[in-house]
Amino acid sequence: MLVLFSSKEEELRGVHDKKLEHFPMFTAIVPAYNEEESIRGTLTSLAELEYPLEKKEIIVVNDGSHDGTQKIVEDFIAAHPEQNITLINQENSGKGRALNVALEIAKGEFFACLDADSFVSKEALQVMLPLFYTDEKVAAVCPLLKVKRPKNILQKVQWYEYIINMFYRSLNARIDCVHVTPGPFSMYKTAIIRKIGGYDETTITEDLEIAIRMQKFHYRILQTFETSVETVTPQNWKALFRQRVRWYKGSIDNAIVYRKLAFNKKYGDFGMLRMPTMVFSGVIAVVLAGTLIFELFKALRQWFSSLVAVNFDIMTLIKTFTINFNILSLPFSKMLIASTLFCISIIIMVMSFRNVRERITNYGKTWMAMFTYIFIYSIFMSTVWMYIAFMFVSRKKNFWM
Amino acid sequence: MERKISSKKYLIAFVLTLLVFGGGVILGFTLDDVRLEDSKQLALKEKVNLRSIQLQQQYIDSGQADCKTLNKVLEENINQLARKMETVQEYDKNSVFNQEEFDLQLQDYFLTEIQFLLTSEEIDQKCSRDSVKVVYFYDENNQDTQGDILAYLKKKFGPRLLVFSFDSTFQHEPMIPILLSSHKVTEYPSLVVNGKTYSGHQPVKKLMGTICDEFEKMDDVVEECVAFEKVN
Repeated sequence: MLVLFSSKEEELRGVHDKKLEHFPMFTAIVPAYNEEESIRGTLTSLAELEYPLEKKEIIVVNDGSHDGTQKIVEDFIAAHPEQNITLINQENSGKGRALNVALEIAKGEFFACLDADSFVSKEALQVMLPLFYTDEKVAAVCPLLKVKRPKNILQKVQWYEYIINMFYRSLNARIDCVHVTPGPFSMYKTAIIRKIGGYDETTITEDLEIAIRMQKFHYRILQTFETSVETVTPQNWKALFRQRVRWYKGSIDNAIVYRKLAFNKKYGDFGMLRMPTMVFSGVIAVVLAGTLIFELFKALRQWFSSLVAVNFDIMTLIKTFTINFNILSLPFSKMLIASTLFCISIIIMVMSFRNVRERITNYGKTWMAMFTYIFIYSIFMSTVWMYIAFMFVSRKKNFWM
Repeated sequence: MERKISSKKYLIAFVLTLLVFGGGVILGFTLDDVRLEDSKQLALKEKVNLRSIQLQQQYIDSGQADCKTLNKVLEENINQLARKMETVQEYDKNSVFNQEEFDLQLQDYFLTEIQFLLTSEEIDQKCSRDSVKVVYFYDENNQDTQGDILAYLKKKFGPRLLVFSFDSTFQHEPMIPILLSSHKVTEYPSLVVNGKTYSGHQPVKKLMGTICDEFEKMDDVVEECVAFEKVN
């Protein structure tokens, strides 16, 4: 929050008014695994990018899909001969490998990866490319990431979450602390990515790993809110659980791999603030989750034992129920701290929505989604972190969603 | 390449965090004092009521004090004392800075409770027994549902069931071990129902039966006991 009040961060505003003076070669890479439902839309959005056709190429890497992905891409290529689209079919080897395969043949001075369930805005290149010229150390630029038209309460909750996360990203970007370049259309300077070794093919969060590696080599990652990418999010709790286990386990794995950056002054705010919080946030989440679950369990057990002790005579308890309220018994100090933190959360929420120029009531289901986000989502995230702790302890293998 | 560390921001953030949590701590400290004062006031009221009852008891023989009224006042005060003790015990658990003072308060309450118990026994000798008295010895460190059962039975029987609770682990008051010894209590929880000791956990049915037997001895027809006997 304090970052908000610093002046240096205004520098990017002037850049967005500038038009591109020349059009460098650009490559869009689409790694795809079983994306028959959305890949046509993804390719369409890439084809509609406002950019000279001869300066743009699209490389689709079909990572061993066994649905109709390959056929759909081939049909798209045939239907759009004016677009420079290459399809590479490979055995299933993971996203990192797919990206590296595309990088080997990519001609673009800049490239972006677009997940096959994401859709980019037309002006993206016009907005994002100029930012690379603000500083030669800029290795990546990330767009505003939003949830595509949420259809149910869970997706609306994720819509809130993404908007609030974007606010935190904007704060992190201001102090060069961006730790992940999300899959949907994060743009990179090709030479830099090749120089630092391309993508890690062993990690389950290659977007996070490459961002930390860029930070390790002291490159900059910028965040813009002047153009957006929409992405499809999980529609049910099970799919969301798997996704988040992968994300957060991946962040812990990479935090451990890059542990030497933590508390290392050489990496500035990224080393002193961002890296430690990546690990501590997980530890705090597990401890809080464990404590919450334990206390809930204890309270439930006590309540149930009390009922058993009185032979479940709930009628008597209801008939003789009285409220013995003593205002002095209230935990005022905890309430003060909790309400202060709650007010800060509300301020952050308001600022987050202002940041992306959205209204909290967009797409409906507002009250149910807010209720779910405030009360249920946190419990859900706690179970994700508990499962990750279990994976560590039991040395369970990572999985890809 | 030298990268920036926003040390000034970290310091301000640290100070702000201290202010937020420090505010909570200061509020807790202030409230502790208020709670202490509140529990002193509550204790004073109970002591005054006890003295009044003790004095009224002296006039029973001369007929100037009425047994029925006195029993009713006694029952009301004992029930009130139980509620106030619960409040003070909660204050004591949550207190950080005034632990010693709250322990003294609790000690005072336990003593007042003992005096109420002794006074009620004296009144029983002069007047016919009007209520069933249960002395409940518990171990604070031992999770048990005996307290829940007594609270439930208290709701069923209302003011006619008087419960005197003593934490057997409360080290500060020597009278508690004396009480334990006088009633030959060796395990927790234990109950003393109208002078008879029952060791260990007493299930609700058994305890209800015991209490109903006591009411029967007083030739008292209690609705809950009638219903209980029908079912059992």
